[in-house]
Amino acid sequence: MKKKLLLGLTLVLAASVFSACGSKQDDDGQAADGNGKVTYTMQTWDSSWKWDTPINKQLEEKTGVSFDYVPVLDSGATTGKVDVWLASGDYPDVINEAPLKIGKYKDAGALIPLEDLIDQYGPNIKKRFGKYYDLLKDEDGHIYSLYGVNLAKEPSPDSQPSFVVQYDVLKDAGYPEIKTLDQLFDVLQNYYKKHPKTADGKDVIPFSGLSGGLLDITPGLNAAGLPDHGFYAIDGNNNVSYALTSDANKEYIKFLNRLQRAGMLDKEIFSLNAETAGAKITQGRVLASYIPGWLMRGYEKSIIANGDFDKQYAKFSILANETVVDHSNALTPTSSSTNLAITNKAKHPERIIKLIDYLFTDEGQILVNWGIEGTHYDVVNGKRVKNAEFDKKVQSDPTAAAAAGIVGPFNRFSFGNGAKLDDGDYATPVTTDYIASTYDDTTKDVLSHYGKKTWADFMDKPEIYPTMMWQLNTPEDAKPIAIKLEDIWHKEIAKAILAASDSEFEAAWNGAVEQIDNNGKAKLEEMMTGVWKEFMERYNQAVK
Amino acid sequence: MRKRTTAGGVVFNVLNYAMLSVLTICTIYPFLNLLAVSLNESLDSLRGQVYLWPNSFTLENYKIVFQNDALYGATIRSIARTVLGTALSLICSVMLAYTLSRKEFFLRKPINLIMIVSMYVSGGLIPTYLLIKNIGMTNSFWVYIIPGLVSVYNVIIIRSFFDQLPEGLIEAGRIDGANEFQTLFRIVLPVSMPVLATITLFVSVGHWNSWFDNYLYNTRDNLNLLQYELMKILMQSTQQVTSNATGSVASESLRQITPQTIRATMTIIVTVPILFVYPFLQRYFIQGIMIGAMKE
Repeated sequence: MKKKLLLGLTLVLAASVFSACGSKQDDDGQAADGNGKVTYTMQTWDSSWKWDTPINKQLEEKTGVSFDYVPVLDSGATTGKVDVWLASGDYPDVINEAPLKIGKYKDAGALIPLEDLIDQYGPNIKKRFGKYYDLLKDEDGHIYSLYGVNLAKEPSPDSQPSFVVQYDVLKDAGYPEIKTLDQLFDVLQNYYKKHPKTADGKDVIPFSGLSGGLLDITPGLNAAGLPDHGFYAIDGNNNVSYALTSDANKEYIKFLNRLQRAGMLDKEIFSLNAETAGAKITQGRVLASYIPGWLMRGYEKSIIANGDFDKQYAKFSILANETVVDHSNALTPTSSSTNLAITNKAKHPERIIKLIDYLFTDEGQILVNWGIEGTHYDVVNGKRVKNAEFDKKVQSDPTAAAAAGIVGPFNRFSFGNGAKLDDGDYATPVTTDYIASTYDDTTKDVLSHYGKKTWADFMDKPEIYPTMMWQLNTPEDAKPIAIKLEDIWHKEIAKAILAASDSEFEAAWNGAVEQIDNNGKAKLEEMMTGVWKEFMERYNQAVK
Repeated sequence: MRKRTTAGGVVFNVLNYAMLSVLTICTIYPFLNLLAVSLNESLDSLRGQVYLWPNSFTLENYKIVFQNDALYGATIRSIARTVLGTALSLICSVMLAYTLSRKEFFLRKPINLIMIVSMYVSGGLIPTYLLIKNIGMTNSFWVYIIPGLVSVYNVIIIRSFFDQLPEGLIEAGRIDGANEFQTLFRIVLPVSMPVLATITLFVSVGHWNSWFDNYLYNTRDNLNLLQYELMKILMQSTQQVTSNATGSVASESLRQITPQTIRATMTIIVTVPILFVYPFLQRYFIQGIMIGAMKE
């Protein structure tokens, strides 16, 4: 009897403890409505971001909204925390995820549609998206997530072409502007004849680079002037074709073969990764290569640190021949990647929309991109410039930018580097003048021979593409074909690159083309054309 | 008298030692290489050619990693977790294993069955998450210790060891008037050091290395463990390299360290402390404590 009573009491006690915890979690500081202060929980993807920064404080003053950041680092595991949240119904008020995960949340009914709220509270969102507004809409006609819109009409000043040539080589050749693969070959050959060894006696490697796609896919299509649709090219009638075996790409493979036959191609080129290729480049042994800017910047730091200013690299847009027209600088109208969605946990979601709407005003753009006047930027002669002292601090201390709040989850609503606000000045601090000011003297001198201020000036004006092929979902049954074809490609094309004569090259090339044709190329093209046309139909309807 | 070595024996010895040396080098080299990279100037490491010792020695990498204030608290929590978690886990597992090894315990069979079933059938990630959340253990330190307190696998290992102890040992204790606790702690445990050392090693290394429960259940910075904080540093350095679009290549920014170096530095930081556990446990593996416990 006594024991039973004790047991019962224990159970009641335990239950009350748990229920107390439950109710406490429910009203986590979201009591306020109307215009009072509200706090929302928000998933973030960088744990260095803190809400408590000067810039966010200003944002809170303007909108009355503050956020409680819940950082989730992607563990690389197949089931991440965000999935577990969804399955357990324990997600925060705001999630920031890639479209695929947003789709999962939508399917589970965890997200609220935003279009009515935007109609009511988001005039600036509508204004800035303009004719692209309907692109925000999901297939079912509702808007579930928000992201930025690209309003830039010029290439971002910090972008750069991916063909790189060492300063020393250019100096030796009298600073020619290299525009075609043939020119590049001649310049490299001339230099290599004169300087087969580096100053410290190592072999010079005229052309090297990373193995895989950065060796035999991306540069070829880039040189063919094609925008980056992955493996594909798209013609005027929205027909998708497999671009690797196209004649345009053949020219580049031929160029690699020519280098190889002249003994100018790195002998290890089929096995280099970012680290090993980087080691050769930072040792100053490589004369030219194809390296995207995001990799190149890391290498160049090391070159500069070593004081080898002449071993830095010029970046050119190099095309297969004079007749090719460059369409490779592609820009999409929106910057959809990690997108913001509001879950059904959020009370008064209109407050969040109001905050985002504020970010789409000039004032909001200046606040998140430039910061606070006098602290993070100054106005000199009517133009905004970065505050020199703050910039210095950011450069020397990696945590300074996050501590100020100048980087954070709201940067993605930026209009893009090179975009202008209504006041005629730039929306972000990454301006041509700023980028030019970060170059060392050698780089400035090299650029002056070409009459340019930044490497971005070597790129053509960006063209707006509705989307890039790789941003669309590849159908499940197309994936194995694409993977198989890529495997065949890398294997077969190595034979062509290593061919000892023209006839051998032709035979190897034709063999590769034939194998790819026989392994489902036509089917893949058909499927991808279907995907693309379906997208274009929706796009045309949305944009009109 | 010395044993004479034949020619074949000499060849065998030479080959044997050569093989073992190669094997040792293969095992140790990657670790030494990481040590060298972690002590090398990070931008110099980018140029490659760091093998056994650093080309340009620096402690800067360690300084930068430890610049992160969060690391001190995280280290203390990690140590607390490892020590407390291992101790509690060991006590609970041993008591359970002892109970289950006693033949006179009438629920022995059903409990054994339940435990073994739980080894093969688990709730899965999401139900486990829901359970932990509903009993209010998210965002608490105890989530590191309580859910994994008793591992069936370890209990079975300990129980099997207890099972093969001579029954006479325990009976002798009984005759001298020891109760169950005294029997367990004064008689059984002292002769079970090898198995305890093994389990201690398993559990402590597991606690030290684990980060997934941190990632999943605790979102607040003041509960993070060393492993998780280090992962954060690594992720941020990777992001800096890839997204430092505005980062000028002017000289001041050169002090930042590269992901490759951070990885090496962190590997050393997390590996070295746990290495110290081994020497303390080593002797228990070698000594046969059971020798002479019973006269048959």
